[in-house]
Amino acid sequence: MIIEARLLTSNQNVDVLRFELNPPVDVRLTSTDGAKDLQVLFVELLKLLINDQVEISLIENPDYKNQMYFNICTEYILDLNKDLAEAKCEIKELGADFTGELGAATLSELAENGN
Amino acid sequence: MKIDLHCHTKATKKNETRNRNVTTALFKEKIEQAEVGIVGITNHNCLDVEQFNRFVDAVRDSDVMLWPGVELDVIGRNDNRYHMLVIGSPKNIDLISEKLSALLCDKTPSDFSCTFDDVWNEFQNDEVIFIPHCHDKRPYIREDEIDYIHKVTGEDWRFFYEPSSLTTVGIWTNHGWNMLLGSDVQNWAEYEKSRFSTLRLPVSSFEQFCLLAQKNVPVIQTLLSQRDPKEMTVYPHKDVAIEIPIYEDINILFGQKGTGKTEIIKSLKRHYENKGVPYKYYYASEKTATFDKLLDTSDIPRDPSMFGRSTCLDELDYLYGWQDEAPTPLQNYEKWWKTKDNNSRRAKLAIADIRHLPIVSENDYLTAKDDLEIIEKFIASVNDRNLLRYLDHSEASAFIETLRELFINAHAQMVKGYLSATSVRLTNKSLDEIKSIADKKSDTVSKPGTTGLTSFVVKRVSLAKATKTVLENLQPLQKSNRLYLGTLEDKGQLYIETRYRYLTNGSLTDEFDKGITKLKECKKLFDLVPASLLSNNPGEAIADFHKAMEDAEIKGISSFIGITKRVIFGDSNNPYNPSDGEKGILLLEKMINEPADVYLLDEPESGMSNIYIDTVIRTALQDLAKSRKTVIVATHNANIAVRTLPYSSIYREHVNGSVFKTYTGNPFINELTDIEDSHNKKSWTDCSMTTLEGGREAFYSRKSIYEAGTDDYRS
Repeated sequence: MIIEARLLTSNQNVDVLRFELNPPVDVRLTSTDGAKDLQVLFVELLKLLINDQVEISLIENPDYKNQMYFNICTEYILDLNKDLAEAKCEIKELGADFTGELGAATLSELAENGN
Repeated sequence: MKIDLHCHTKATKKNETRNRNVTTALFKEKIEQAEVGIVGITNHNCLDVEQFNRFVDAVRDSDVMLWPGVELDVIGRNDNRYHMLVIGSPKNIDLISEKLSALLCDKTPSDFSCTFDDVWNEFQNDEVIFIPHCHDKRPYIREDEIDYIHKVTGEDWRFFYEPSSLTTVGIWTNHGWNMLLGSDVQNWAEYEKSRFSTLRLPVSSFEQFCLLAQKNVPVIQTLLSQRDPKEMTVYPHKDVAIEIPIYEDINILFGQKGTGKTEIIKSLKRHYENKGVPYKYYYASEKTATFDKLLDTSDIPRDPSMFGRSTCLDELDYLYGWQDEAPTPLQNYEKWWKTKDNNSRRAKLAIADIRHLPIVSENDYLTAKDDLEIIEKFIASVNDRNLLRYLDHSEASAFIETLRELFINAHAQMVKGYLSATSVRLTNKSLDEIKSIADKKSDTVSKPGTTGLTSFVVKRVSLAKATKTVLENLQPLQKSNRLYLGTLEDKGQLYIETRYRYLTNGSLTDEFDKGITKLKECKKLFDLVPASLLSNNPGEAIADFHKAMEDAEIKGISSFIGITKRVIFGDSNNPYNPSDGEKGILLLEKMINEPADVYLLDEPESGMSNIYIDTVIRTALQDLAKSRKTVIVATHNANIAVRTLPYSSIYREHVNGSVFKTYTGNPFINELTDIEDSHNKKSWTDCSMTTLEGGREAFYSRKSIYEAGTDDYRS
């Protein structure tokens, strides 16, 4: 699964890196709340990782003009994709250890139990 | 000691069953099988000396005494015919035989009969005893003949009476008459099924038996002393100490209410407890509380291992301390980008820009470590056993070698797992250190080693793992076991069922010691944790659960195991609530069946029917006495105090004010002696009758009423 990400300026005039999830997740680049945004993003990525391989693709936005942020985000997403691959391995390894044949579905299974 | 003083070994009368004829071998076999210790051979109007001597030789090595005798046809007052046994010492068999010949003249056993006077004239100067049939054993002696005999002879000790049943024995014994039951064997094939009397004091000769019948004190003391009497200091009241004899047999404490009998029992209990003597006790006044204690669950450990489960202490600790791994802020990337060109030499330090190594989980290490612990324990237990009982040498060696390899490989796996996980952690830590130093020296900020996603995922997965373990260990599960409690004759066998079950919707308040409301609240909050695993902040649900657990002072999940104990019937799951009397019956049966050296009972008759006391309790106490157990009973019940024929009777008397007296004795000498004044004696019978039967008048009044209903006896 490939998730698209693009840089844009939000309605509040803040630079954001938008991940096209459902619903989209915006990571604010110039706000101290950016760390919180990343945590929300990680949770969503984790949900996807349970059942899928996930890769992020940074799409160039012709309307977005801040080249430095584009460069930074390019590097970030490069690292993020490496981490996504590693994390998938961890889920497979740890998941299989305690769920048997259910493997990595454990997290979603537990979430369902709780509901 | 079983005694059969009415034993036929040959059919002597014309119409007598031939099944009474017995061979020497069968006689020996049957006597030994029935475990009879004394046999009086009493054929009808005949003493066969040759057969008697042959039987004596046959049982010489069997610890059986044979006494010679005869069963005579006697014509009593008013021409009433009855049978009477005459038994003497084997030492005097020739004399007895000679006198019998004189009595029988030339008459055949079928034709012979005589009067009591004839018999008495022949044997009055010899040491023989007389046993007429009585009551319902036909042909029986009439009451006027009994009166006549006792008047003429003046030697009551020489007379025993033989009724047909044990019930009659009980009634007549209570009236002060010596009673004996004999086999009166009809068919030797079934001799062992006969009812026999039991001699409480095991005599070693006919002469000793006669002395016992005469209540000869030195003989009785000698016989009693075989049961290892001990002088015990007991305390009927605070600061009052007295010494009483206690035998390895039945010891009875009786007397009026408020004379300190219960306190004596309690002081004996303390004594045995201090001495470490195994004892059991039963206090009727505490039976409800004692029974309730049997159903108490507070001391029962709530142990998940009985379900193959865990307390989950490690997992709960992990949950309580769990924190999300924070993502690397994008600002760190921005700082790196902005400063990366500040120092040209910094660019050459490539190590400062490399990523963290992929995390290696500690799973392999932890699994191998757990396995290794199990393997070590297994090897230790194998070392304690002798494998050669099950395997030959080569198989045992191969097995040991395989275990050794298993241990070595598991150990290597554990070390490898530890090194992998630790080396990556140390490497990444070193990378961060190098980057930090490089940043300081070059006025730059290194590129972050990771976005933090991997650590974030690993932590969430570990949290899921711990949560799942706790969840699995909290799933409803039930187990129960049954322990035999006792039998209620008219209702069946009862068991105590102990049921263990994890908290469910159907759980009851009494099952738990932490409060079911708190437990339900904790469980409810824990059920929210799995749902939070994929939320932005699982820590909130965990914190709520943690707080509830702390408030309820619950450490592990063992507190979620509910325990119930209840009484049920053996053939169903239906609970049963025994009445107070039934509780006593069950407790008594339980106590008596438990192994101990000493049994202490305080008013065991309380709340129980007389028939139960006589048929069950008395019999059980006598069985314990036969096994040389020390049985000490404080009682107001005659069936226990009298019919058990206790080796020691301790009578407590309230004289006046604060003056109490203690008398000790036994039914065999029929005396109770003041422990402070050996000249002050009381009749054991009188004291028993007064204290236990309501007095002599009441006792004989009952006798008349009972006998009025016995038409057979009156006819």
